[in-house]
Amino acid sequence: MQFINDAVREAVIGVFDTMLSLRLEALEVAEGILPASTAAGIVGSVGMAGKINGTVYMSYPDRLACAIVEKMIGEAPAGVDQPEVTDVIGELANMVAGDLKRRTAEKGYNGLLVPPIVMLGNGINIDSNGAPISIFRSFRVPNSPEPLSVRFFAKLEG
Amino acid sequence: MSIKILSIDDSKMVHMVVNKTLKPLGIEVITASNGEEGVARAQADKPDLILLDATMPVMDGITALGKLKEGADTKHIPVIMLSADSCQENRDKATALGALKFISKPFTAEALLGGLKDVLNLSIPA
Repeated sequence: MQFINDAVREAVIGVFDTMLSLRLEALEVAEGILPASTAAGIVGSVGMAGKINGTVYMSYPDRLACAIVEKMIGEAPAGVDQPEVTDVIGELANMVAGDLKRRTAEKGYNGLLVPPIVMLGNGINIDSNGAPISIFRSFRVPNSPEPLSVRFFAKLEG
Repeated sequence: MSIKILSIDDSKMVHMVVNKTLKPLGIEVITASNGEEGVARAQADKPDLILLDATMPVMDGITALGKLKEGADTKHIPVIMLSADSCQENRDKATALGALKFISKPFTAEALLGGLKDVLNLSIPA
């Protein structure tokens, strides 16, 4: 379990550093049986299926999502519902899931990635559905008062 | 010599980063948003090189790579995979089908330019 927890942290920090030159700081961490939670803002998620079955959820408050997109494309989006926001948030989730998958594959747990899904709103339900691997991590993003929240729920096969 | 590169990816963010990296070098970047559109664009536009994502809707990159390498008018075009799904199994599949390089996402401008230099034998500053 610890290697997956570490892989989540390394994947998130690595993607933001490489693509956005943002040095995230790992904050809170929780694992085990996590209660369902409700996110507000925008959530990028990517599923994986195979010897590892699971989903990564990356939750951003609106302001943080818009700031990240502005840093990526060089101009502020008109709102969190703009296509460039969903595109960037989806692709960042895809990169994190890909990096995480590569790290778990090295330990013998490979899977297929599915294209990202992006959800918007004030009551986005995120539930582990009893997954034996349930990890929550938050990250401080430079110049943002609000953290990035990442959840990974998974089950290993074999 | 002008160089034209086809970026096949379902993310506009990736197209933008590729364009931002290559345009200052005088390299033209054209785009497609899935494998099916990418194969058609490659047949129509005859790029000098293709950057190909693996995980995409409609047609994934590995299937598209197979079609590109089967096509009489596209099989000679060098392909670099540019994908978040960079496990060894995917790398092996892509190599077996004819991809010349595999660059993992997230990627740096240096990694992209290094890949292009190797494949196209260019002398561009990295």
